[in-house]
Amino acid sequence: MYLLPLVILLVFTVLLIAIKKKIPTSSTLPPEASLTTPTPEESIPLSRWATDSGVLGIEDKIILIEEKLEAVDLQEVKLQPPILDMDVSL
Amino acid sequence: MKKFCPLVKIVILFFVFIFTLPLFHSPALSQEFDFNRAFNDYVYNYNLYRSTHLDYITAKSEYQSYNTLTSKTKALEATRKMLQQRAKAFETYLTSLRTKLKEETGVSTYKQSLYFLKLDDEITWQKQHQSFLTTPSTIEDLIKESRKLENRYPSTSVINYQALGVVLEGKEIYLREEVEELIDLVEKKINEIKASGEDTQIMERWLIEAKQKIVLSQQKQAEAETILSSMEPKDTGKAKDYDQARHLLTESNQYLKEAVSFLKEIIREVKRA
Repeated sequence: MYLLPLVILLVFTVLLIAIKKKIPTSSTLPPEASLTTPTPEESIPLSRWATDSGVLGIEDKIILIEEKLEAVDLQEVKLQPPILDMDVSL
Repeated sequence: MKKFCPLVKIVILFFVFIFTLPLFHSPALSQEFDFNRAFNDYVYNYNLYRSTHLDYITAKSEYQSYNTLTSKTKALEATRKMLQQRAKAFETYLTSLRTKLKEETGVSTYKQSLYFLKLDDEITWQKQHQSFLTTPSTIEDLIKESRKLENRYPSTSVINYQALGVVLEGKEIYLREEVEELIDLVEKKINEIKASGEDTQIMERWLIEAKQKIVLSQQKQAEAETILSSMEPKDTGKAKDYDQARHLLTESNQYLKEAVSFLKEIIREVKRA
């Protein structure tokens, strides 16, 4: 008499577990889908000045000056005036 | 025989010259006194000062506690050594600052000469001050001599900060001149493109903006120069003023970076059909 609800509850739990197993729990996508869409390579049409030696020379100089502007030390921490005792007494 | 005499003399002179040559080429003379050497010299002397200062503190404490003749003599000697080393450390610091000023290419000749004079004057004073501290003295004499440097220090520190500011300005001037040269090159190229019949209106507009950044960079530097030149010995916040000037020079540098970034964009546009 008391066993019937217990059996029903057990069957219901087993069914629930079985259903849960069928549904994919994680939201991870297959490796193919997780890959980012490759952006098409930007093919900008170049002007006749693109290969000009003067333009290329300026480009090189820009790189050099950029490096210099980044590397410049405008702190000179090591040349700060020394800390000296200016209150000597005996 | 008479014919050979001049020849013999020449040969003898040649050998004398060859054998005496190494004497003129001693390592001490050949080693150039550059910033790195001057700075190492300063670091060495500053460390020595710190060591002698510790000795002075200990000896002073013992003298104040025991008040004996032995402790007094020890304190006197420790104070003398410390004061001498304090002046030496300061002298070598000023020398390293001078060499830095000498090696910085962007510094104007006028400013370089002006601060060479000021620093040389200070270095000479520090050397004289050290010579007064070479012989044992009384406590009163030592303290009197110490006060001379202490009273002079506010005006010397103005020279220090200003000279250091000139070094930083020199770096900034050198970089700005390089960017200006680059602007000239880009302008010439734009003119060449324009002469070939192509539309260069956008590039010309961008070039004006790049030039504007140079003007802003100059303005920031001028502000920094004003702060440094108005520094006075009685000012209590000299370090703060110097930091402010340094910050303005960093801003000036930022404008140069922006100008170069604009030039980069112009070249990208030039290359685009």
